[in-house]
Amino acid sequence: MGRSLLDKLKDLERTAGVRRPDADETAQARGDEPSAVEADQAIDPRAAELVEAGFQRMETPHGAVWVRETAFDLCTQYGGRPFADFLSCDFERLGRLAKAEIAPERMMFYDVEATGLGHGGGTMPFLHAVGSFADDEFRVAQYFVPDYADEGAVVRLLAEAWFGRRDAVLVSYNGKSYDWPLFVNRCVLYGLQPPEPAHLDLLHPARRLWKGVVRRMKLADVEAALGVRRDGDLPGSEAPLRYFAYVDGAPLASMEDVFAHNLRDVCTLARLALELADALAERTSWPHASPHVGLATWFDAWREWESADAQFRKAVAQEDADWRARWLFSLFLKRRGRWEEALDLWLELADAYPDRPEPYVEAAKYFEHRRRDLARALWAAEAAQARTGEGSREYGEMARRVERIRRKLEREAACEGDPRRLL
Amino acid sequence: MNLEQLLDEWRRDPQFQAQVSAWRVTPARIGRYADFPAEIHPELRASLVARGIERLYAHQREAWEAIQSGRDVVIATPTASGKTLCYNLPVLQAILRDQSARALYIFPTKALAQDQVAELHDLVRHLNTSVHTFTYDGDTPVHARQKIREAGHIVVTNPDMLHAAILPHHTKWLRLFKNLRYIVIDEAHIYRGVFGSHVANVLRRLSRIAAFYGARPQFIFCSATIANPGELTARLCGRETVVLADSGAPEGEKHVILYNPPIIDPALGLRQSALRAARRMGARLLQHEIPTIAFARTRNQVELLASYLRRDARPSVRDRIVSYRGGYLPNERRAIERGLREGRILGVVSTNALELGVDIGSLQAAITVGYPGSVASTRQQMGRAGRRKGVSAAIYVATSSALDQWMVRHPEALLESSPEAARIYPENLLILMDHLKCAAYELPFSADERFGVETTDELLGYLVDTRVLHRAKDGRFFYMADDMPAHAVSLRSAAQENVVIVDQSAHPPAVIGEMDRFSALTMLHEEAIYLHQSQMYQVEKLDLDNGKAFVRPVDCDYYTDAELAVHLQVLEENDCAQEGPLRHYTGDLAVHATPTLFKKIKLETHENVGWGKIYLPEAELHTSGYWVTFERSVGFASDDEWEGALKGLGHVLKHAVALHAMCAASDVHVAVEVRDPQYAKPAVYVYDAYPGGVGIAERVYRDRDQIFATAFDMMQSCPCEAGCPSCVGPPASGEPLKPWVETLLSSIIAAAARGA
Repeated sequence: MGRSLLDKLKDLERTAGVRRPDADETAQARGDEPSAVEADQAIDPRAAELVEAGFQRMETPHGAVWVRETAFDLCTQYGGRPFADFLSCDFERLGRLAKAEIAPERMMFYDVEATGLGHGGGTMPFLHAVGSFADDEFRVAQYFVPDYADEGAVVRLLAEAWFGRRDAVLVSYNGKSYDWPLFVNRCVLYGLQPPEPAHLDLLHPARRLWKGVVRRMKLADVEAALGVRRDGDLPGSEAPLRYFAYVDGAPLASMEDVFAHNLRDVCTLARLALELADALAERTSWPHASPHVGLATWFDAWREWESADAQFRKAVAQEDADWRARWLFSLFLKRRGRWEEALDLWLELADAYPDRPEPYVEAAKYFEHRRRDLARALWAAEAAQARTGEGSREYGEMARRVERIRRKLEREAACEGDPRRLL
Repeated sequence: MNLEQLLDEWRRDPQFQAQVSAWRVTPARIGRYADFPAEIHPELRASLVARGIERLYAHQREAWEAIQSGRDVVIATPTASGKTLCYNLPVLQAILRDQSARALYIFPTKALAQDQVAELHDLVRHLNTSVHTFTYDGDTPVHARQKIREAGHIVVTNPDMLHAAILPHHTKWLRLFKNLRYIVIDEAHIYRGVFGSHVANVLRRLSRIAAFYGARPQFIFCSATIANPGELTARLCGRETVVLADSGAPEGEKHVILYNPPIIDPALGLRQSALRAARRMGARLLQHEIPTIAFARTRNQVELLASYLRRDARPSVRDRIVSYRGGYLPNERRAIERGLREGRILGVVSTNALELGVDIGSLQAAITVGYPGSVASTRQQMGRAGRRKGVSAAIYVATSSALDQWMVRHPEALLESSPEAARIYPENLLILMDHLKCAAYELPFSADERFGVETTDELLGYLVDTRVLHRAKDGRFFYMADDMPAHAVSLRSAAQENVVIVDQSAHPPAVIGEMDRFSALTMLHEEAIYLHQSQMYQVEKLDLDNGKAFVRPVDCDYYTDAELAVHLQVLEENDCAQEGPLRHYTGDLAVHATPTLFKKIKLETHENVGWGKIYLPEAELHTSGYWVTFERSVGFASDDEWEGALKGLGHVLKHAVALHAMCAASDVHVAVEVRDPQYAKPAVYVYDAYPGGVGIAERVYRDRDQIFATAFDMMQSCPCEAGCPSCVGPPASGEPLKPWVETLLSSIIAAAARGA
């Protein structure tokens, strides 16, 4: 009888309905790959494979680190522009977003591929890529963790040699909530004080500029808008599975798609940073209103009125200039005291959007308090009231406004009728 | 009239006395006190004095000493003996001495956590040093979480949150884990059975992570009175614990009365309903404005008794009588608790929702209507009456159920014997494997690391084979999947792949419960009547593939009982013992079960009023079991007689096991074989209803003498003649079922006596 513990466990899991890959499937998936033990005994064919694929073994005090560097000449075009454009780019305003001074040689474009999407202790980045400018090249260093046991050395190296640099500016896409917290987790796990570099995350600026143009804000969607084309790219969710297969014995070749995907992500990061810097430096125009509105609201908040004004004007000049673009512009004009222009815009908007009461509300306020033209104030207020639903809060407010203007008008009429006033 | 006078009246009333099976008086006891320890922080001392506490109870001081000497402790003194202070004092002392010190408080439910936090705040309010206490549970807003992780000196949470949110993200809790000095686990007696087995594994993970960050926190447990606080807590935390069970708090004189309602139909043995008897006594107590709590078993009974008591009360008192049960909104419940503490509310009728440590102050009288399922639970309910000074009374009113009748005839079981032990079985393979995965996700396992069991490396190897873990070249085991394993493991449910029960009448349809697949075959087949919180539901559809049963509330006067064709296969005998003509076994079983048909049985009368077929596939359960085989010479002429006798024995045995093992009767299954295929003898099997077993069957094997003695007693003390659902089950027409079972039980007990 004497069943082994494992037999017992298998039966138990089967009958309790635990779902697991079939034992046969497992065996097949592993194929005839040499087991880890055998691999160790041979002269490490796994290492040979890495070397062949262009990875270099770096010895560090905490173990070996495998890195592959891909260097791009500055003349290399990516997404329609050469990396050299970085040298002539104005990063002043982009630096405000990072709350740090930005220069090409300080930027570290960082992207990881990890074993899962979670943030917990068991999600391990198995591939870290850092892109940087040096010696007239854009270089991407890809640090690969060929076995879980090798991770500590990689994390230490990154923390010390890269992100620990005093002037480092980390650039990422959605890295504020994914890549970087993951890296911090790993530092904690290896007992390191996590470095605290300046951090520029491009997701939020990109969303602000292109939300109206790009439907989803995944990096792949954004880069498509920049003209970057990727063919046969690996879906992100596939990466962990490829890695698990690799550590289980599959050949390194199956990881190449993951390496390529990660490399492109980092290049796109750089390209995107360039695009954003140019946009913020007002060197870009789009055939769409929403990016210009995005810029304008930034400049407005930074009290750079002229730039804001220029961007608003570009925005409303576009064919797809929508309600939001024109309305925000009108409020900007109002705040800047440019009443006549604002009024023109309100009247235009009132015609173009027959359901919206707001332009008439603003117009009524303007006529009543600024121009003190009560007749036209009444006309605008009544028009606004006609566009609000009876019983709504707005309707009540407009009713009170109409009422007040009428009273003022009557008082005025009474004064005019008073002969003494003529004297 | 005050309580003393009322008790005196009852004592002198022969009609009342005739129904009393026991009346115990515990004389008042003066408190045993101790001075504050000399090393207590001056701020803490000042805070206590500001709250009117000038000295400690002896057990509080003993707890302090044990904790200061670095021991893990469990405080198992009665309700309202000041247990909370036993842990708050050392925790605050540690924080006052070192602002970086941290403590983790774990309560089984959110409501209890709130209560204790309120008390802690009260103590902290008088300190000059600011001590931050935060509750971290599902309701904690996301923006507050960061601050709690960094700045909370005391983090209050529950096991589920610890399991699914804190442990998997331990790197974010660096500060807590690094400086973790104390882990406080209140209401530890709740952690028994499957839930307790899960929690023990969660605590293993917690200790493992603390050790990773270089901390070795001490455990401080609080528990209600159970037989084995030391054993339970040692199994929960994996270390020996010092038990402090001797309360130093003063106690007033206390009367405990066991009351069996009068027989109203001697032929049928029918008794007056317990609810009615409770109503009579409750009304008298409330009439004299004696603060009273009554416990009923179901929500319906709670509402019913409360409305009776209100009807009986005079108008000025009527509004001061309320009901309290699960399903009320939290602020509603808080208001009632406050009303009770402040004396605005005079009478409350409750389910056992109030039995836990919710602070309602102390009442003068408590009435328990019907045995709540365990001695410990009964004592907790009775403990709700009891004051430091003055007289209090606890009255237990028996219903006509088998357990109740047995209890009322054996007052010593309720009053003197030690209460039941709370058992856990953290080594259940399925539970262990679940947590092994979670633990591997949190931190890789080193090659020689042990997680609870000696066979850890074998289990890790199995997970490597099934590609859940990866063995790295340095020999460590790493989690290798892109999900977070904790999300797939629920601490409160039994097996994985449960069937959830969906009420289709709700909008949107609501999940009202869940059940393991094996039980679902007989409880949730189509047309089955499913009882939930005393509401009846009919199952309309059982979708086993997707693990869903769709039900709709119905109002009917019958319940259903499914017949299961069971084939047992002994996988392994772990131990056996020959006793005369009997052989007892324990080991692993494979249970193959096919539900065949179900009967509709009328409530109250238990008449069979119809039946139907069940169309479901066979189910397989691997679990641990206890079984006993008989020689055919023991005594029955035909197979039919054997079958009847074995089934009757199984029926009463199940209840005796539930009583002894402190589990629900549905936690074990019973099966009988007239000619067992393996042993070619008559046999009775008792096995755990949970895959892999939770240790009940092994316990039955070990304690079989006591359990059979209890079963014998239950059968004999039942007033029926030939058998009834309250003891050995209803006999077929004309069958002398009870004598048959008696023959079997006598032979077992006699064999055991000879064997000993």
